[in-house]
Order: sequence, then C-alpha cells, then structure tokens
Amino acid sequence: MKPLVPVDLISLILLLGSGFSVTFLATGLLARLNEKLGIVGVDVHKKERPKLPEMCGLAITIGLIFSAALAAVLFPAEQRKLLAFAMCVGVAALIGVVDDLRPLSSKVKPLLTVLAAAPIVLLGTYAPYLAIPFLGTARLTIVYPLLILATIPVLANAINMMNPFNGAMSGTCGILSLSMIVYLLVLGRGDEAILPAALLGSLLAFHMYNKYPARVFSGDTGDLSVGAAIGALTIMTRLEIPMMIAMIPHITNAFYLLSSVGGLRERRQIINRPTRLLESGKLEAADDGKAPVTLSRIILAEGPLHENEIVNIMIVLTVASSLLGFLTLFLMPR
Amino acid sequence: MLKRMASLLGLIVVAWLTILFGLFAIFRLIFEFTMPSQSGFTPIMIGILRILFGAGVGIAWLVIWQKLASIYLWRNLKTSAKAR
Repeated sequence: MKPLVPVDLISLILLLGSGFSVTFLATGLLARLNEKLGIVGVDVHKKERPKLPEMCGLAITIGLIFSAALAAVLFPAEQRKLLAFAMCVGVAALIGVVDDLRPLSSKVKPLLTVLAAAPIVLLGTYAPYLAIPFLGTARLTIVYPLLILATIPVLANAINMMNPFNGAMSGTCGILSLSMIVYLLVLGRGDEAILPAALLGSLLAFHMYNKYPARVFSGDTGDLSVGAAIGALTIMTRLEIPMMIAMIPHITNAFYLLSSVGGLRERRQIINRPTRLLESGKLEAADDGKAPVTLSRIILAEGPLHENEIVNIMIVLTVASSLLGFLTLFLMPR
Repeated sequence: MLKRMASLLGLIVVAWLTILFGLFAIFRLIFEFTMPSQSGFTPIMIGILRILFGAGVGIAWLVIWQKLASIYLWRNLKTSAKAR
C-alpha cells in the first residue's frame, strides 16, 4: 500500500525543521556569548555604526551538522555521504573561525579551503560524470576530483565575497538552497533533497537575525561553511551546471572583484571602497577608478539606494539566475 | 528601478548564454578535436591543445563578463555625475 504522505516529504520537512530550530537557538546563544566575549564587528553601512556580534554564522554550521547526524539516523545507507558533507562544512567553518579571530592572508585562506573539499574526494562521495546541456554526459575520471578540489574553495570564497550587506548571504543562499530542492523534486530525486532542505531551514533561521537591520553578523565562519555546503551539495546531487548558472551573481561578483583589484587581496588591504555612505543613509557607487568593481557597485551605478534595497536586488538577481538554472535542467540530456 | 533591474537581468542572461555556448564549444568542438596522423606524440599534443583551448574559452567567458560590467558601470557613473 502506498503511504498517505510521501516519506520523502516527511523527511524533507523534518530536516528543514531541524536545521531551522537548531540554527535559531544557536544563533541567539552565540549572539549573547560573542557580545560578552567582545567578538563584535562594526556595521559600516549605518550612520550610527552599531557594533554587532560577529561569527554567529557558526550557528548555521551547528544546524547543518546536527541535521546531517539526524539524517544519518534516518538513512543509515547514506552515512558516508552525510559524513563527507558534515566534514566539509565543519572544516570550512573551522577555517572561518580562525580567519574571524586572526585574519588569514589573502592567499592562505583560499588554499586552506581546499581542505574542506578533501572529505568528498577521499570518501568518494561523487560520480565523475558531468551532464552538459544539449550534448550528453561527459566522463571525467581524472579531471573530476581536481574540479571538486577547485570548485568548493571557489564557491566558498565567492559566497564570502557576496556578503557585504545585512541579509545578503542568508537571502541569496536561501534562494540557492530552495532552487536545489526544486531542481531535485522536478527530476524526481526528492530523497536527495534532505540536506538542501536542512540548509534552507538553517538559512531561514539565520536570516531572521541577519536581515536588515541586522542583529548579528555571520562572519567568515558562516560564509565559508554555507559556501562549502552549497558546493558539496552541488557535487553530491550532480547538479553542477544548473547550480553554476543559479550562482551567476555570486560567481560574477567574485570575478569582478578579483579582476579589478588584480588578484587575491585581503578585504582589509583594499583601501578604496566600492561604495560610500551618504548623509541620507543611502549608499552610492564610488566613482574612484581604483575602487574594486563589485556587484553592489554595479547595482548602485544608476543612483544611490538604501542597503535593504540593494539586498533585495541581489535576491531578485539570484531568483532570476535560479530560473535560468531551472530552464537549463530541461536542456540536459534525459 | 525597472530600468536598473532590466539592465542587471540583461547581464545575467548574457552570462547564461556565454556559459551554454562555452560548454558547447568545449565539449562538442574542443574535446572532440582529433588529428589525422596518430603518431606516438600526437595524443599528448591533442590533450595539451584541448586543455589550452578549453581554458581559452573559460577566459573568454570571464573577459566578456568583465567588459560588459565595466561598460555598464562607467557609462552609468558618468551619467549620474553629469546629472549632479
């Protein structure tokens, strides 16, 4: 007899709920703890320049690892994949914690994030085939593991670079994880959507604290672990090309930034800022030729906007690119 | 706001089309490229050429994205400066 409610749907809701509740509780606790410990950062895009607890993105990591452990109990056959995912997210978060407490050099940080990709390669939780739109599937036995070692650091750092404003990371990455769930459901692979559901739950909970006006910052800890999670899930669910397209705003932002500052630079080394705060509280694009080109500067090129308006545009762009990713699904060979 | 959104969405669509075209070029044209003569050294040469041309397509993507973004940014910044 067919169950009344699909088991996939129950697991999906359970994992979404576990990601949400654990992250919500952990964010509140971390906010209080980090404030007490003096781990705070200045919100430079507000006239009052409030100090907010930093590194609270660790709550997302906690939510994801808890959800992966819960999924391991529910789906014992998938334990190796879940372990690889948890290790990938954990290692990325650890690098983020070190970077938040004692900033790493611009070249060491991306190199260290390669370590986050290692569990996926070492535990062999990937299929070395790449589905190409219009053409078919390419077998990349030797190249694919190398691509994993490159992709996860690139995505983790791209997400990290896309978080200049309140709610930008949690909002855009929430859309990315929702897209991943939709892609998998459309492909009839709902059972693979449990971890993207946990990620969506965690990001929704964190967004409640991080949305404009933010009460907490995610820090590099949150950004790197979310980026690593999205990278790991993209590889494990074999959604490489649709997710690459969904991430166009993140990837182009990272490339604009890197190409305009002439390679890898630590945030604190970039003296010329891409945007400046006006008396009205709006942000304006800098007309300085030496300032880095970023997505936010491009958004502001047509005139000043409030911080929340910029984030809304970033979210709309991510929705648009996710829809293009969805369209690409239908260009894939069946 | 609508004009701004339309321009930004245009940049996203161009990036999407370059990815689709680039993937097609890499996997249909470059990876299937062969040479009539198959001496001992030829497969290595072909492998190196494939990697170089594939990387070339990747760099072309990035250069197109950068040029478009740069044109959009500076054209609008100049217009905003004139309006002030």
